[in-house]
Amino acid sequence: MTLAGKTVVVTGAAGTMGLAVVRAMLEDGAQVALVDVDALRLDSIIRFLRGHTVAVPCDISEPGAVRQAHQQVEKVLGPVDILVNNAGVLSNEKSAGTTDAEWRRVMGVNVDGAFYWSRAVLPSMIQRKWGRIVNVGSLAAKTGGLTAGTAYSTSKGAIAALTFSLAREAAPHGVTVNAIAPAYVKTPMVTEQLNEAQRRQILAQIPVGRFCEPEEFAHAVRFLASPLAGFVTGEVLDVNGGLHMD
Amino acid sequence: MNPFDLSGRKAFIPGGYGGIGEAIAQALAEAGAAVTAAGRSGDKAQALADKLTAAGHKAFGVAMDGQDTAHIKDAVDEAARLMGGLDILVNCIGMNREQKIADVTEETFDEIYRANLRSAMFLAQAVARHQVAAGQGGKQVHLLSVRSQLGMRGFGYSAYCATKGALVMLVKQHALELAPHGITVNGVAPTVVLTDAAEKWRSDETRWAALLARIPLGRVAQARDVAGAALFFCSPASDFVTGQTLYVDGGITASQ
Repeated sequence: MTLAGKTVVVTGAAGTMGLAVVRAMLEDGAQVALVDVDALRLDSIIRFLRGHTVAVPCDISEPGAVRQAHQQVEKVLGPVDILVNNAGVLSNEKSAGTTDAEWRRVMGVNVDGAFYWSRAVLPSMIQRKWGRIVNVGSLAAKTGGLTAGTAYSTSKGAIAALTFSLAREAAPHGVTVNAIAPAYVKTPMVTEQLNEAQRRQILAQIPVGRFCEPEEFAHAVRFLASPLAGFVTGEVLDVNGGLHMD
Repeated sequence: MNPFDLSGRKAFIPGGYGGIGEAIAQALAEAGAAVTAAGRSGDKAQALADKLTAAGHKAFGVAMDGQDTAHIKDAVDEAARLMGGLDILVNCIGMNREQKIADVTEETFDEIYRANLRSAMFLAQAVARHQVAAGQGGKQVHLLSVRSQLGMRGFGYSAYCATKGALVMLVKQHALELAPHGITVNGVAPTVVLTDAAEKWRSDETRWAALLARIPLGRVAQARDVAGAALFFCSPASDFVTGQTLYVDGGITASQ
């Protein structure tokens, strides 16, 4: 499954899931731009990665920052072939506890950021007749959030609609757009915010009886970016251990 | 590590010598699996096995009448014996006979039910017995259709849509029952695939043009497109994915 010569952008690259995707893409031979708001963490991570990488600190909720970051990626690595809109922030607050700032923060990163990056890379993908965009949705969009809050669940619903809309727009030009809806990947964002009782209760509900490994999430990205999935577009691939089937 | 590697795995592929089945058998063999193709014609299954063997793969062919439960069990046991085990089922059996609602006969309805749904149940059962006994987990994949979700306007598709829709639920239920054994169960749901069986579509220009117009990617699926999704569900890459249906439809269900 070679991605040799492909340029990949992974947002939220310094997080557990993002880093797993970065490693998978590098293993497949791609060159990878690691986008993350945490410049320090990016810096410490990138030292340990083998392959052609570039660190791109960027607050993706700012349209100007995304424009600049995209220009930087194109200058260093060339036009983007694969975009993985992985960055996301979690909020477990239900509506009553969601402040204006919290709502904006979650929407800004999870929805605005994915849109700004997609808008930036699409023209060149369309022009070159090939591209892959992989968004990260969530089980929360379908269930209303088992433990996740209102802003988070809503933002992931928007990601599903963004996926469908972009897929339709880009399909005639050889560009596929899909999403992955993982549930309970072993990341600090998820596991550290669950108390022991919640952890046990959720595990009991997952038919395969375990949480998702970050690498398994990366495998799904790999699949959607590969020739194996060339005819798949506008799909939301559920990676949830059977927790939800629809 | 290549998460799509199937080295050492043993796959049973009923319906394995049809256009889609052959592409799947080939993809799994190329990924390193031993494969046994099965179908009503033992000769055709063997011919595919010979072709794969000539290409350096480990492959077998067995005869199996999917309408007959005892036959299914025997064929599964035989495949497990030939390969020395059984890790993967990819059920490619499917048939259709168009009949408008006023013309549907009991014989045809039952025939399609037996081919599309009943065989899936007992294939899954026979394979699960081997998988559970071996205690090594496993993969089961069923070929569904966009008709698992969408009705078919203007044509007589009662039996086909109903049985393919029911397969979605069979996949979910089997996923739950087999999850404790580390066996995942998923469905691949293509639209019309460019095979010999699809020729009747092509010969009707109006129908073909209407089909193309409905597919956002602007082309009809190749068998290898379906094989790619099947390979994903058969490989370690999808170990946390179960009970799901992946539509390989160029965007049809996303836009309808």
